[in-house]
Parts: sequence; structure tokens; C-alpha cells
Amino acid sequence: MKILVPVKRVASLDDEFELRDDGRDVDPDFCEFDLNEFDEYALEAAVQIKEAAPEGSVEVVVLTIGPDDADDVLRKALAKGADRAIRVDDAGLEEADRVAIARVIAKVAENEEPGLVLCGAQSADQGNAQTGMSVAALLGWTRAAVVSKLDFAPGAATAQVERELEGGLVECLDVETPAVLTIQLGINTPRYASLRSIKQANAKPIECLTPHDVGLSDAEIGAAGALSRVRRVFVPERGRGEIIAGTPSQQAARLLEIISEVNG
Amino acid sequence: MRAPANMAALTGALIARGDAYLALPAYGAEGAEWAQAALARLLLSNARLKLVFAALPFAPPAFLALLAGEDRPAILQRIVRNPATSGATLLRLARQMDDAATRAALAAHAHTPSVALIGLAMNADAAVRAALLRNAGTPALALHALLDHADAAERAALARHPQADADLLRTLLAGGDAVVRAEAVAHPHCPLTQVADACVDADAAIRRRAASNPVLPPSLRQALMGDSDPAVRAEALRLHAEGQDVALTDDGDVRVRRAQARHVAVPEDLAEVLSRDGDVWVRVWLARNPALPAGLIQRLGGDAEARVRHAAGRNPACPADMLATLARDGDEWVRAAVACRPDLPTEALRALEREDGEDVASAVARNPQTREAALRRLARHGQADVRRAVALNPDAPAAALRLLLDDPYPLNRAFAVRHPNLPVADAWGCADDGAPQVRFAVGKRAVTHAAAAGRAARRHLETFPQP
Amino acid sequence: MSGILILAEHRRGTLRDATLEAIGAAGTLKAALGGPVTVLVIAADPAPLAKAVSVGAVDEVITVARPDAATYEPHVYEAVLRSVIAQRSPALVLMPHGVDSFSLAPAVAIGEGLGFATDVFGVAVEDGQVVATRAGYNEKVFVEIDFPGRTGVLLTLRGGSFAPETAPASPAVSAIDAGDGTARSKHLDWRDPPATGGIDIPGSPFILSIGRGVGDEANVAQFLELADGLGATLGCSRPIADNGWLPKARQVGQSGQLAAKCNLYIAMGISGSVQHQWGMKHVENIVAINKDPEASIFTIARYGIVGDMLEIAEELRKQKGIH
Ligand SMILES: Cc1cc2nc3c(=O)[nH]c(=O)nc-3n(C[C@H](O)[C@H](O)[C@H](O)COP(=O)(O)OP(=O)(O)OC[C@H]3O[C@@H](n4cnc5c(N)ncnc54)[C@H](O)[C@@H]3O)c2cc1C
Ligand SMILES: Cc1cc2nc3c(=O)[nH]c(=O)nc-3n(C[C@H](O)[C@H](O)[C@H](O)COP(=O)(O)OP(=O)(O)OC[C@H]3O[C@@H](n4cnc5c(N)ncnc54)[C@H](O)[C@@H]3O)c2cc1C
Repeated sequence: MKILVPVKRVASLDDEFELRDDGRDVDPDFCEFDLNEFDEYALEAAVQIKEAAPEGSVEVVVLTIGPDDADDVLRKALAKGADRAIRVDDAGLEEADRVAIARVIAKVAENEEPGLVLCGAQSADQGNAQTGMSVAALLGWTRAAVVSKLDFAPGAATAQVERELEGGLVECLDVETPAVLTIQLGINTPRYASLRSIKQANAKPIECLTPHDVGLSDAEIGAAGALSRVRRVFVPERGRGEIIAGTPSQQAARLLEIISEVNG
Repeated sequence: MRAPANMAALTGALIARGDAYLALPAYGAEGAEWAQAALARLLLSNARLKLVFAALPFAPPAFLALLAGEDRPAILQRIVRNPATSGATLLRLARQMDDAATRAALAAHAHTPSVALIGLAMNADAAVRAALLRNAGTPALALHALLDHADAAERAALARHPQADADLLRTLLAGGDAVVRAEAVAHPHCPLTQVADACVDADAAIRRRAASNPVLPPSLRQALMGDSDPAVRAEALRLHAEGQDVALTDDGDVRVRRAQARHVAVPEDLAEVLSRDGDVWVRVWLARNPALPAGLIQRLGGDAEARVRHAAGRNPACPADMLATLARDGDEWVRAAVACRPDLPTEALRALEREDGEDVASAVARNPQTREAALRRLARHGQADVRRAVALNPDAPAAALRLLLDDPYPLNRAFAVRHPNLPVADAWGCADDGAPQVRFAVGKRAVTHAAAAGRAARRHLETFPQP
Repeated sequence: MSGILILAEHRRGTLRDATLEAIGAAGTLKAALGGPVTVLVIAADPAPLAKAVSVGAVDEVITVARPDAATYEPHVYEAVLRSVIAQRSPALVLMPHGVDSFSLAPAVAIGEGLGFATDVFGVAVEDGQVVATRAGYNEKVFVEIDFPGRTGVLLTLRGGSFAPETAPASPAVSAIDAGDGTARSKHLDWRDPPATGGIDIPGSPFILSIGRGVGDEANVAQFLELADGLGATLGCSRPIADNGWLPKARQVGQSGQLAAKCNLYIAMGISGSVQHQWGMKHVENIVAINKDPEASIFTIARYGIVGDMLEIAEELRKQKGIH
């Protein structure tokens, strides 16, 4: 059985940054890129399932959609226990929104026929919390979001999961498989890759495909497959909250007021 | 892989590797001047990295000076905010950029030369004024320049600025504002008559501020210690220096008792009373008090509250047998308090070396008396923080540090690379590390080493002049 | 193609406040988009919930009673909601941005070909077209999204962004049968968050946290005392725990605790690294005290004090009589 883990290369911004000339995104020079933290947990969950199963019976496949720089996050995932890596190149994917990205992932899933797809609950940069569940919808598979515990034996007809709801409430449920789950932080403790496994990962090949290679038609690629469009990005006028000025004793007095206002 | 031992070979190797993070520490290092141009090409080769390096607080100042020649405003703005930027670079940028944000950043920078700060004060907008008032280096002359248009909050800030002189304070006090007065009478440069008046003011808040004046004469302090307001008494007590002839006496107010408990000159009989105080904080402060006689530390080390026992365990004067007792305490946080102490008796430390709990294990890992075998085990502990504590142990042996070079956690590898007990050759072996921060640490270590070797060689030449 | 359809979110028999916020949002958009405002309640026993959503601008409540909807089940909800949308063709569908809608909204938007955006906190109608605003890059930028070529739009709304509607109203209530759909997951149980004892960062509503700005171990005790006096739990940044100045259980952040229930977080001498923010940036009332006005903690704080934490702490103690 395969487990497919779509992973995203997310950007974190420097404290000050500039927008792209067209005003529709941030200038990437100001971005630090890394593997989406949620995906570390999704990957760890997949690797733990593999390690609990008979040797060789489960293959963990990681997938990213992005430019060749995004190979870094695939190598990181390989170093942390993924067996195979696929990158679908982003040429032609301009204007792709979550749903358009999900179309690519769903096609790869159709080709790979995994028993589970584990996505991150959301991405650390855009945080739409849409992609994984869109993949499930496109595949017509069972889905559950924000999974904080997962018990699954490869081949079983159901998985036992817990979903973490608002306020720390937990729902325990059985879901039919194959399923797409989105994974919450804290479900496990993701491993750090050892230096040796990093070196081994650097030697592994990455399968590089185009959206057409995976079987998407033009009507599904990029803007054509999207349900939304970014019109403009702007830096909100808000910066910082109320600055409490004055001497320390005045500042402390105001702080005590705030404490009693908030705490009632 | 041997680390290149002299600066020429090292710089050559760094350039050949083409890794900007590894090479960054070499820029401006003595002995690397010949390769400056090649280093500059490498370090300025990538738009993203230029932005990153401009904001890096440990970037070499010479490199920031170079980077200040770039055109991109975002880079220059970062350099102005970078605490490592030198005064000369700041002056240069000050001449070149005159936008409001840059002026405010210059006004806030600890390295901005006085002349520039005075210049900024001359026609400052609100942000620059605020930055100058917060900058501890702003000279009195600049403060005087700010006085003219100062609003109430700024006047208060002027009155508490460390560089405010007696003249400025006198002028501020003449304004008659109570908030300004409260700040001024606490200032060490405040004219004494004004402080003396404040000590008998009707407003307890003013008396309290006067009590916090660090140069308050003993007679005034003595008077305030008998004040009717407990907050004033507590404050007067706080700064009262050891050796001054002031009697501490039993006080009904818990604030005063807590202040007494912290006081280095707490007399033994009072300490005795305080050690039975019902308020746990009085006992916590007392237990930490290094002036406390051993007997009382012993008693507090047996307190029912773990917080108090922890404090006793952190007391530098805690006697060895008490340390040994606390090392067997049922509470992990109390055991952790003594586990990092070099003066912990050996058997007690040996027993703690076997513990696995995070708080105790990290403390043992930092203890310079911990055995090599134990450190090697802790260097493979399941918790990354415990493993890092080994790298923070000043006496950690190379054998334990080497284990950390394989640590999955990059920060731990960087710490190990920086440790002086790790041979440079081992550090150099990490020059290919995947984490930029580790490679930077490797570069830094190699550069420091080569520079020291260069200095030693020159000293040698001076001692034995060649014919 | 007109009107606004809101899906009621409820759990364990209680309507979630976020639904009232969605109704509030619909009230402000009704004039621009045209009515009616309809609330759909899917439940095993919808009657009490139908009453709870009869507020504000709501013109109509549709109830769908199904035994398999005793708890939220995404596949059942999807079938019902899609069939109602197909019948009514609303211009706008609203639901709270919450854990339940995560697994519902994408399937409905894709299935019905609706324009789609999530975690939206601003909605405008320009020339009859919906424009949504959300945040990106960790809240550092706002993103305006439009939906060219889409006749209906589905948005999930960020909690707390729209005023909840509570004024009673008397909409028409009708029960319908809608959608087939079968459950593909089975609810087994609820588990409430564990009771708390000892040091409890995740459960504490009020946390006072100290960072490296505290300077010296000797200063730490006074902050324990201060937190005690203010009724707060003392938290810390990682270096403080790393130094052994406070136990690990007090560390807030990515490798420590999540301040999950915190409503007031005072960060003293904490620079605001991403890793620290991970554990607290969601808190509604953040007060930052830092002597560096450029510290990133100020960008997420509701209140900021540029100053020395030791001085502020001293003043707090004095004014609060903790000394
Ligand atoms: C080539 C390309 C072009 C883009 N162009 C635009 C554009 O013009 N306008 C615009 O608004 N956005 C654009 N995007 C951004 C894109 O819409 C979103 O970043 C992406 O769909 C994920 O949304 P999210 O970050 O909110 O993730 P969420 O919906 O929060 O989901 C996160 C989870 O989905 C999975 N996932 C998300 N993205 C990927 C990925 N790329 N590869 C593999 N798995 C993934 C991961 O499991 C991740 O944990 C583009 C992205 C790419 C890769
Ligand atoms: C994988 C990973 C996980 C991590 N997990 C965590 C985590 O869980 N929690 C966490 O906190 N960190 C975590 N970190 C560490 C994090 O990156 C930062 O190093 C850390 O948060 C910094 O702590 P700080 O803000 O106390 O210290 P600093 O960044 O050193 O900031 C100290 C601040 O105090 C201010 N200051 C100094 N003196 C005073 C004064 N007298 N009055 C007022 N202000 C003053 C300074 O201006 C400065 O802003 C993690 C790092 C990594 C790499």
C-alpha cells in the first residue's frame, strides 16, 4: 500500500518586505522558504504507519507542486523517511488557487492509488485549510479534517481517528478508507533527519512531471481550474496596537486597567 | 579533513567552496585582506542573501560597511537597524538617506555617534524624538535641544534619561509637573535640595520615588525607613547599602518584609523571624539571600513549599550538606536547582547523573563536574534541550561534543561547533552541514582559529627577529 | 441567482456563536446582494436550533431532519447542502471558518462550481460581485480575492470578524427532505479537554511570560511573585527554560506549550520569534513590553509598552501592593 503525502514549500516573510511589481504577491526575495510545519506531522504519521507494518509493505510517497527550488522540501521529506518523491513543475500553473493545486494532487493520487492521502491541516503561510479536503472532494474519497490521532493498519477498511475541535474538544470517529485526512500539529513528534539520512536523501532521484504528464487537461490547469483569483495584496494599516506611552508608573497603571478590563 | 591553519589558506578554501554562509565570518578578518574582493563577490552574489545578511546581528561590521554601498533601499534600511553596524557606516548612511524611518532608526542606534544624535535632535519629528529619548547614549546636549518642544510625556522621559544633567533636571522641575517631578527626584543627578524636599512631600508616590534615588544620602534614607507608608519603607530598604548603619526591624507590612528578606544586611535575629513568615514569598526571598547564615538556609531547605527549597538550593551560600539533601528532594524542580552547581558534593552529583527527567538532566549536563561518561550519555538524550545543555557546559570534553556533531537538531550542532573544547579539525568537518547557521559557526570557528594562529606567529617573529 | 444562504453550525445540541456572526455579516450584505437571507439547519432534531437562528435579517429557516446528522458528518452535510444550493442558487453561501467547515466547504464549492475563499474577515459587493478579504503570510499582508466568472460564491468567515446578530426575528420555518448522501465516517465519542492542575499553560486564561529580557536568574523569582499577585500563570520563552531558570512546563511556543485558552498574554522581554509566537499569537489580548521598539512582538500585540520590563514590573508590584 502507498501513502501519499502532499507537502508544500511555505514562505515566511522578513519583518520588512516589499510587494511584487504587479501588487498581487510578495517579492520572493523577502521570503524564507521551508517545509510546511503541518506537513512534517503528516509525513511523520505516514512514516510511523510504515514502520509499524511489515517491512516493505508500505511506501510513503511525497509530492510537491512548485518550481525546482521546491526540491529542497522533498529532500527534507526523503531524509525523514519518505521513500519516493514527485515534483510537478509549476510552469503553466500561474494563477492556480487551492482548488487548482488540489486538481494536480488528485490526479497524482489517481495514478498512484494510495490507501491514504495525508495532507497538512493548513499551510503556515496562506492557511486556507482547503487543499487537502479539496483533494478528497475531487477524488470522491472519505475525508476528515484536523486529525490529532490516527490509528490505521494498512489494508483495513476503516481508520480510527480523533479530530481536534474548537476549545480542545476531541471527537473520536471511524472513517472508511481510502481516505484523505488533514493532519494537525502535535499528533506526533516529527523526527529530525540524521546527517546520514540527509546525505542518502541527496542521492535519491526526484521524479519531475508536468501537469499534462499527470493527466490534467488544459481546462483544469492554473486559472482554468481555479475558483478564485487574487486581485491585490496590501499591507494593512495596523502595524502595532495601542502604544502605551508615559512614565513606567503611568504605563503600569494603564496595564493594570487593561488587566481588569479583560479579566472582568 | 584538516582545517586550513593559516588565514591565507583558509580564505582560499572558503572562496573555493563558494558558500556564502561559511565565508561570511572571514570578511574583514585580519590576514584575509588580500582576498577581500573575491569574498565580496561571493557574499554579494544573491539578492535574497544580501537582504538576509543586512539584518544579521552577527554579520561582521566590515561586511555591513561593504553592503552599505548597495542601492536597494530595503538593504540599507536593514543595515541602519542592525545592531552590529558601526558608527562610521551609520554616519555614511545618514548623509545619504534622509527619510523619516531612517532618521528614527539612526536616533535609536547605540552606535550612532554623538554629533549625529545632536544633529538629529535639532529638528526632530515625533518618532525621532521618541527614539532619542530611549537611546541611553543620547548626550545631554541633544536632550537640551529636545526640551523646547517637549510635551508632558517627553518631559517625563527627559527627567529619567540617564544622561540628563543637573541643569536639565532643574529646568524640568521648575515646570512644576508632578509626573516630571516623580521622575526627576529619582535621578542620581537631581539637585539634592529637591530630593530632600521630596522626602517629606505629602504625596507618598513622590516620597517613594525619592527613596529609589540611588545616591540618596544615608540620613534621608534612614528617615524614609521610618515612613508611615509601607511602599516607601520597602523602597528605602531596597537600595540601602550593606554596611550603612541602619537597623532593620520587624515590620507589620508584607511588602516591607519581602524587601527585608532580600536585603543583604538583614540581621540574624530578624532573619530568624522572617524564616517563619507565613508569606511564602518572604521565605523564598530569604532563602535566596546570600547573606543568610548557614543554619537558616538549612531550615529553609526543609520548608514545606518546594519554591522555598528551590530558592535555598540556588543560594550561593548553601552549605554542602544541605545541597546533598536537596539533591534527594522529592520534587524534581528542587533537585534541578542543585544539579547544575559545581559545588554539589560528588556523590550527590553521581546520583543525579543517573536521572532522566528533563529539568534535572539538563542541569547535570551543564555541570562542569559531571563525568565524561555521563555527558556522553546525555549527549544522546531523547530531549534536544538536554543534549544542547552538554554543548553549553564550559568543561564539556571533546568526546561528548563530537557526539553532538551528529545531532539531528541544527542548533545543537552549531553550539557544539562553537565550543572551544571541540578541536577545530572536527568543527571543519561540518563545513558541508545542511543548516546555514551551522556552516556560519564553522566559518567563524575556523576564522577565529586562523587569526589566533596568525597572531601567535607574529609574536613569535617579534620575539625572535629574523636576521 | 440571489439571496444569501447560511449553514448553521452546531455541536452537542448547541448552536455555535459563529453562526450568529455569519447572520450578522449577511445582514450587512443583504441590501447589496438582494434577499432573502436563509439559514439551513441540518440536525437530528432541528427545532430548537431553528429557533436559535431566528434572529436579525433572517427571512427563512430551512430545516432538514436526519438521524444520521445527530453529529456533524461531512458527506451527509455535503449532500444536503449541495441539493439546497442547486435548488435555490444563492449568490452567496456563508459558513463559519471552523474545523467542521474545513471538511465541508471545499467539496460543496467544487461540486457546485462556486467561487471559493476561506478564513475571510471582510466581504464587499462591488458592481454586484463579491470581493473577499483574508490575510496571508502569517497575517502580514491582506489579500483581496474576487471570483471572475462565478455566479455563486462560498465563503467561510473568520470568527470574531463580524458582529453577532441576536435580535429576535420571526422568519418562515419550513422542513424539507434534501439530498441522499450516506455517512462515511462514524462518530464514536466526545472527549473533553483534560482537567488541569499544577503548572497549566494550555489551560490558563491569563499568562504573564518573561523572556531573555529578564536578564538574570536572580530576577526570575520576582516575576513568579508578580504573576501570583496578578492572578496570572507565569510563562517563559525558551531560553529561560533552557537556562534552567524556570521549568520546561512553563515554556510557551513551538517546542513548549500552546497557550490554548489564553485571553490575556503579557509578554515581557520577549522578542517575538516565530517559534514563540506559535504558542501565543492567536491570543486576543496581547500586551508586549520590550525595550526595543522594533521588536517583532509589537506587530502582534494589541497593546505595546516600550520600556524596561524590570521597571514596569516594579511599578506593577508597587501599585498592586505585591511588594
Ligand atoms: C505553481 C503555483 C502557482 C500559484 N499561483 C497562485 C496564484 O496565482 N494566486 C494564488 O492565490 N495562489 C497561487 N498559488 C498558491 C496556491 O494557491 C496555494 O499556495 C496552495 O494552493 C495551497 O494553499 P494554502 O497554502 O492555503 O494551503 P492549505 O489549503 O492550507 O493546505 C495545506 C496543505 O495542502 C497541501 N499542499 C498545499 N500546497 C501544496 C503544494 N503546492 N504541493 C503539494 N501539497 C500542497 C499540503 O499537504 C499542505 O499541508 C500558487 C501555488 C503554486 C504552487
Ligand atoms: C526549532 C525551534 C523551536 C523553538 N521553540 C521555541 C519555543 O517553544 N518557545 C520559545 O520561546 N522559543 C523557541 N525557540 C527559540 C526562538 O527561536 C528564540 O530564540 C526565542 O524565542 C527567543 O527568546 P526571547 O524572546 O526570550 O529572547 P531574545 O530573542 O533574546 O529577546 C529578548 C528581548 O528582550 C528585550 N529586552 C532585553 N532587556 C529588556 C528589558 N530590560 N526590558 C524589556 N525588554 C528587554 C530585547 O529587546 C529582546 O527583544 C525555538 C527555536 C527553534 C529553532
